[in-house]
Amino acid sequence: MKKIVSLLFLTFLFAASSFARYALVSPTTNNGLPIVARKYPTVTLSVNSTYQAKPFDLTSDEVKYKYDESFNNVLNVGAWSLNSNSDQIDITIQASPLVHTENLSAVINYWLYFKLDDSNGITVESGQDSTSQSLNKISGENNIVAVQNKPIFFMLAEGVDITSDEYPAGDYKANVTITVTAGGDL
Amino acid sequence: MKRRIALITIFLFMVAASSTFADVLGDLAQTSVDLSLEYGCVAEHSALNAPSSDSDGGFQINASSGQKIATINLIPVDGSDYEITISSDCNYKHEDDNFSVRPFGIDAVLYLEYEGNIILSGYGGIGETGNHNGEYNVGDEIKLTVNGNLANVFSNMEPFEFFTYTLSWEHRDLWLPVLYLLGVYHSLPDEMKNTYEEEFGFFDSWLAPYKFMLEEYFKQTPTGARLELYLVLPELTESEKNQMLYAGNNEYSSTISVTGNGVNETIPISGNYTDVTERIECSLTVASNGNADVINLNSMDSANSEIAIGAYNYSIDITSLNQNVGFYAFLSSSSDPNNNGGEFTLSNENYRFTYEAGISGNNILEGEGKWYGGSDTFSSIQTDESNMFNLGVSDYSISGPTRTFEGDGEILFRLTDKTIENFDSILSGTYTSTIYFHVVADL
Repeated sequence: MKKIVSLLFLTFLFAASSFARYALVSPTTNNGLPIVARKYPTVTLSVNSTYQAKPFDLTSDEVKYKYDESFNNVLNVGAWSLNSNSDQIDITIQASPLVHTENLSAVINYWLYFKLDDSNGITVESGQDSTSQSLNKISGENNIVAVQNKPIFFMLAEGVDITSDEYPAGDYKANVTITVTAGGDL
Repeated sequence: MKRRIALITIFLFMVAASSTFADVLGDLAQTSVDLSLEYGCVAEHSALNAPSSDSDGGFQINASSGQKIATINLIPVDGSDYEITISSDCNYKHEDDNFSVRPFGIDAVLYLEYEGNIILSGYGGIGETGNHNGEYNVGDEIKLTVNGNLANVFSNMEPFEFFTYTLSWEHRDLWLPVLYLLGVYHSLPDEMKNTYEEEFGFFDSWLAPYKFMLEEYFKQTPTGARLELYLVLPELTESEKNQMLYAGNNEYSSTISVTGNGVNETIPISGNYTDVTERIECSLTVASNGNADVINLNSMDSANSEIAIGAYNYSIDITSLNQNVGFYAFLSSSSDPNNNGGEFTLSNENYRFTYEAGISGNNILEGEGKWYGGSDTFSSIQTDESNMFNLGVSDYSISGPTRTFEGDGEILFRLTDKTIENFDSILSGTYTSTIYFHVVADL
């Protein structure tokens, strides 16, 4: 036991002496270099139109108006994706009515439904003021706002009788504008 | 009337002391006979007095003033005057570099003794004494003259000159008033003496026996004499100390000559100048180069992404006899280099992630800087010395023990691999942190 104690003591001495030649030169405390780092907000938005290359039929049953807040069983016209590192973003969507390409007086209103997840989405009515919605951080593995390839549904507005003379046959076109604004604590 | 009463008091005091005086006087008379048979003045000087611990008998040049250099024993013989001249150029020089010269001074005291008691002394000084001769002049010398026939001292006494001598005797307290009075009286102009005679007619008659005894006493010859030399050193400035320090050899030497009355001695003095108070003073500034004010993380998401965010510069004044002193630096997240502040972390109220801080600099010996995770401490970098960032070495041989070591460089920033892997999960926002720069010397 005595030997062990001696060895431990010697070890301590050796360790202490090995440090002895160094001395701190700078002040024991100093102000240091404060740094500020920012991660600036980023947004990626993409829309893939399923029917971009082949227009869909406005007279089909798939696009008829149905009272259903979840837009089940209506036409899926595309998918959208949205990513942002900001913990809050604002989305504004404005849809112009479908307008006959030759007879500009022929105008058809419709509804769009941008699905966010299984139970939520953004409903947009064409010809109305823009629809705005703030999206907060979506909990999950990544603490960011993310919409990954969710469907966009289309149906005609309530009361639209596509077979009436009011809507002559032909091609109809509309523009949908999606604006995403990302903020953050900057 | 008042004056009369005062004098009477003194005389009564003298009478009370007279019996002791007579005893001592008998001893003096008997001893002086033998010594008076010798002729000439023979000097024996003792070995160089070594007040310091130097084994070579030198003295510490950086020692405080007042150290005794030497004691020279003189053997008095016939009552002739002692005339001892002490001379020196009063410069001690570096053994290898005669350009390194510092002045010193010498105080000399000559003692005349009677059977071990000092009865008279004289003193003088040269060089940087400050006390006696003032400013140092090359070629200064001390000439100490003490009258070996003490009767001459008495008879030649000028008014109040008595006090330039020191009398020491075992009954000194009793004798001093007597001698003072005699000295004063003896030095008075005749007309004043006459006035005293008229007013105090008993003055001379009262004093006569003691005056006689004193005169007899002063006719005796001292039984011993010695000369003591003391070193006087000017206070050195830090700059002067620095000029005197060399790598390795710091030996300085000089000589003192003592001549006169048969004495012809050269006393070597030497010493090792080592008055170095090792000290290190460091001024350190660390400042942002602008990038540290806002680091754009959006462009830092790859392993190769690093930026210089700040600059450091330091100036270290060091005094050390170590030949080469190495300097190192490390970065930590703690302002106290002894404490582990944990990893470098950029954080806000919602989120935190790790980063690394690096050092690069003009004095780098290796080709690249070093990176630190923030957890290093003064202790940990010594455990792993490879983790020290080498600022370089201050070289004693170039500029001496007091050196100024300066340098500067950049502080770098990069994200850790872990943070880069999870970069997308970092929310946009503002994050803050602090990097501390610590300097270490290898003494």
